[in-house]
Amino acid sequence: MKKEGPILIGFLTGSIVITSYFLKSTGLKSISDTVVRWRLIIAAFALALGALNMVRLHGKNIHHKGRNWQYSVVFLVFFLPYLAIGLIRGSNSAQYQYVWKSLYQPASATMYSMTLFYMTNAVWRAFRIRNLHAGILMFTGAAVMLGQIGIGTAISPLIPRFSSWLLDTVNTAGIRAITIGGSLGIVSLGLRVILGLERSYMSDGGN
Amino acid sequence: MNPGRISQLVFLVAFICILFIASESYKRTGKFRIRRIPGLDAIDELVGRATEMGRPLAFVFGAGEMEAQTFASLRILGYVCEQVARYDARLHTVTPLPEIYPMCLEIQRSAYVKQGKPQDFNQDFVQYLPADSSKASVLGLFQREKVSGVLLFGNYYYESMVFAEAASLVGAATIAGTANFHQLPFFVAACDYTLIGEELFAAGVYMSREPSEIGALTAQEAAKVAAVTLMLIGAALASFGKDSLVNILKN
Repeated sequence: MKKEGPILIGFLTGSIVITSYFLKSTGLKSISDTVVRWRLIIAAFALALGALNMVRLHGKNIHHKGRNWQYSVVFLVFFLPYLAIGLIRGSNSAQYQYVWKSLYQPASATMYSMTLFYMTNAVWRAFRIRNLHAGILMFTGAAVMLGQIGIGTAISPLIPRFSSWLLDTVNTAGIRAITIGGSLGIVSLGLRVILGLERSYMSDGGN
Repeated sequence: MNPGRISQLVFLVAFICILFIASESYKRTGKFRIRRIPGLDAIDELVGRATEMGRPLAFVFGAGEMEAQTFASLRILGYVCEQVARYDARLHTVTPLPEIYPMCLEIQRSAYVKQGKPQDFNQDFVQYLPADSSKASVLGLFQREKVSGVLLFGNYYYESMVFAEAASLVGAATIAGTANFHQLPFFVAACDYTLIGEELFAAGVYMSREPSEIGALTAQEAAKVAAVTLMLIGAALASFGKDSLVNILKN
């Protein structure tokens, strides 16, 4: 049953959702929407499991005075009271929102802005002309970047036109090829899960 | 029947038929050929490198919503775990998706059991880190553990560049794969190997050669040929001002 259970659930839920997509039936659509909502409930259980794992991991680190255990203390000092505020006062409470806006959001924005530095570093490595492909990458990359800024037009009005051609024709063709291939891959994998042929998510691949 | 979906249903039924026919055909003949995918071949090298250097590997899932890419990535994780268990390397698995945390645990545990080393399985090596905070934690993991190799698979967004470049800064070899075309340029620029779009979904068949997977891949390829053929016919018809094919597909 450990193997058959998940396969049966996958088959039933997948079949309901697919059938409701093709058939015009309000009843079936309602069942399908309910099934999709169940996913959120399951995710909520998994979230609790994940959070418990984090507490366990950091608790263990503090208990054994492991490497950088002080950071584990910091984690628990913030995590547990914040969890308590969320559970007792709710996520719309002023206290919860204060921590969210003054700690989480700035930290998140900082992480996002760091992307620029990593990107610059990656561009520095990727644009070194070591072979023909890297040369083409360098050339097209430079053309597109120049086409997006005023200085490109100042150098030559042809640069923005060439940049647009690269983006609209060459780039779009590549993107569509990748999208079609990827979408068919999604269809294939989805069908395999529904038909019970894909078992990689189970212990020992469902064997 | 919902209007405008008949052609899609026909496509789906044809897809399923080809899947089963190709699968049965492979069972009978055992003949199948798939082109080399360097990124998947490099996984063994990465595990070997980790074993020789005595430094761990890291497998990080994308923070985007759980979908087909995530399942395809779990397949790759299964293979990596088996190799890691076989060669006594170490692997840190990080998932920002709580839904797959128990799956990652099971996959890793069963890989060790399969290799006859259940005692070597350590659940501390599988971590759930919530989406946004996972960035800083993963960067810290790369730096602290001085990982020798990093595998980035799944539904990636801006963290693709951050993780790939951070891995490169600690001298780790990187293999990445995603079907999110907006992140592919970053992976291609920053990683040693990249699985582009459908290659991610072909990973399972590449590593296992299981008949049903071969059937699915064959159906996928047949659908691709059909799509290209339809596009060519459609373009030709449109050039002559006829939209009959579009009307058929809209049914």
